[in-house]
Amino acid sequence: MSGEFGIGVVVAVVGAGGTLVTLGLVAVLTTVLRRLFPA
Amino acid sequence: MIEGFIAALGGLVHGFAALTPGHVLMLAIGCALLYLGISRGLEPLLLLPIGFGAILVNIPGNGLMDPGGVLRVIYDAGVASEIFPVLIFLGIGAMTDFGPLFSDPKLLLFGAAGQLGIFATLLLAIAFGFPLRDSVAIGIIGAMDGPTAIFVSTKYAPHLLGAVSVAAYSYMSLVPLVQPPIMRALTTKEERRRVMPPTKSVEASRRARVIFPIAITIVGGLLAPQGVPLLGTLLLGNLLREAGVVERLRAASQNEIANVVTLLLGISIGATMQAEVFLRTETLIVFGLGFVAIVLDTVAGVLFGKLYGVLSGGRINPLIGAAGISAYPMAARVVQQVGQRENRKSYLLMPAMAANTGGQLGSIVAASIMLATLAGLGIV
Repeated sequence: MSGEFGIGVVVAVVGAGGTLVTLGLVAVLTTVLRRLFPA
Repeated sequence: MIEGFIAALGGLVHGFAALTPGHVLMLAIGCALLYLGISRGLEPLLLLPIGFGAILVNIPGNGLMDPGGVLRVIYDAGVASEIFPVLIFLGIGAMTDFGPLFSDPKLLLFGAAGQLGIFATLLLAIAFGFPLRDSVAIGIIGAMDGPTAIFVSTKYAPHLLGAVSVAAYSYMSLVPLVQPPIMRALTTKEERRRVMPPTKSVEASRRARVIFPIAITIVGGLLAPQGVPLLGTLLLGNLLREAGVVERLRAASQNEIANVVTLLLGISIGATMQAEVFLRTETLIVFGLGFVAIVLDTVAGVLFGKLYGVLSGGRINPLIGAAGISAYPMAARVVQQVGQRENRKSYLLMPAMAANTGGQLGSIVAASIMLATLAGLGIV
């Protein structure tokens, strides 16, 4: 059980951090697209 | 001769004779889901077929989920193969307007905060004694995203599919009831009354809107390849919408395909709710943990909103953090209503829609990252 919890902590930390980083990247990409191709 | 009549009549009463208290309870649950869908209007597109599917499979001797049975064939072809949730995303993508994100891309980050419930609930489920794979499926209820929950639970814990799916769709429909008390409890009156400066409305060019789904698919796919079926079909649907040259395909994706798949998906999920599978203590725990997940999503979103509000010098109303979940556009409307109730001059709908769109992307990204992490750990 403690082994599974340890893996769970790894999945949770990497998952939450990865989600934040990925959406941050998407935000940057969106900003770049907006600047490159203004309406 | 008489024996023949008795045997024939026996066939007619077999259903009654084989009825167990478990079947009766599940028939009642099926009827309750129908009531919620039809009379209360809670996610009727899903709760109606799910409720009816639950009724069908709990009539003794129906044979629908036996090998070769009609619902078994549909389930294997569409749910076990993961085709249905993926096709649903095609329709969602065709219906979603990512335009509000172009006005203020930073609001996307609310979509990350709103997924915290997934990961916290994953740990809670393990603490409750669920194996890791089951815990992943339970945690994903916090994505507040039916197709994602179905995709992940089919992959990791198919025996929990019924409970996880029903919890995900039921709680999504309860967003207007669950979120406002949490939003009020975590914010001061002054924060709730805060008027956000009008967002400079930035219309994205057609070229930007077309490149957006292509670029995000490539970047997101490279980061988390296991999530490509989800992210890719969502963004393909969005490309059909924004390209403007495949109107028939866009219309088919968001209408005919989405409608047919929604019906078959719903009835297939209902078919997993057989009494002997569904009526277990673990189902109740799954529902309890699912509720904790959506509460934690809202808590994390609002707290992130408070932090963002401080960092932005008071320009952000923390209520919009509650919209960083996938229930779209319901969560954004809830934020607008709560804000308006406190201050009639407060218009939070546009930034809340941007955060809500971020929540839609965020739930898929969170699931994809989790799948990639598990694959990296060799647990797939």
